[in-house]
Amino acid sequence: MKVRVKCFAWAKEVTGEDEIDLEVPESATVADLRNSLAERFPVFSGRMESIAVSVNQEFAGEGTPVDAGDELALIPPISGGCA
Amino acid sequence: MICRITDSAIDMDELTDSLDSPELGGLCTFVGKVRNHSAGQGVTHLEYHAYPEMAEKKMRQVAEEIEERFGVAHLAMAHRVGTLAIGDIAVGIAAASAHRDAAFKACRYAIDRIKQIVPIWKKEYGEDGVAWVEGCAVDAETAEPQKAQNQRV
Repeated sequence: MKVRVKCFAWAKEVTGEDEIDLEVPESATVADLRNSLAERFPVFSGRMESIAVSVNQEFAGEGTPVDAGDELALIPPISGGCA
Repeated sequence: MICRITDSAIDMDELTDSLDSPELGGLCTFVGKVRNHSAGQGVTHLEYHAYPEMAEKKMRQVAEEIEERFGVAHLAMAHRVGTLAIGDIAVGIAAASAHRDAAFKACRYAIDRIKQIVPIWKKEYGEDGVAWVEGCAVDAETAEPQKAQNQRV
């Protein structure tokens, strides 16, 4: 199935798009989405651990299901310090 | 309760006026402004970007955490996006409670927490070029910050 993923900040710059469509398996999870992302945009492979994924505006772990109707986004590190 | 991402100038009076109430004796504000230097380099201006819908949702989460931790329910926070000049207000926070201690704590917690979990990004334009300031990667499993990075890409 095809899912639509919003891209922000660095992710928007390297994809050149506000939103990208990715092909993922049926019953896919966030982990599948990352695999599909890295395949299409290898630039993500090197820093995947720093990119969070949100599903319906909540940060989502690797096992979270993703569906074609979900609002998905790539969240690069945000601007604040961690102090 | 104001939790707002805006592309207009932040009006601190509006934030504080929204918390005007006879039982609130302590009002604490924080104003985050655009600084002319970063990591030893001159900065000419900044761009702030946000995922506005999620950012406002996470700001409301911060407000809920503040109510749980400090019992402070009177908050107003606004973060600006777009191109900002040196000295512009990037973020404004106001917290009010009956007494000062809780208001100070709420205000401090709000700015620290916004910088951890609210999807807002800063791009610095400076003498040495342009860089995304990446302070805080979020661990998606826990929805909490990973270790400090503070790198520029």
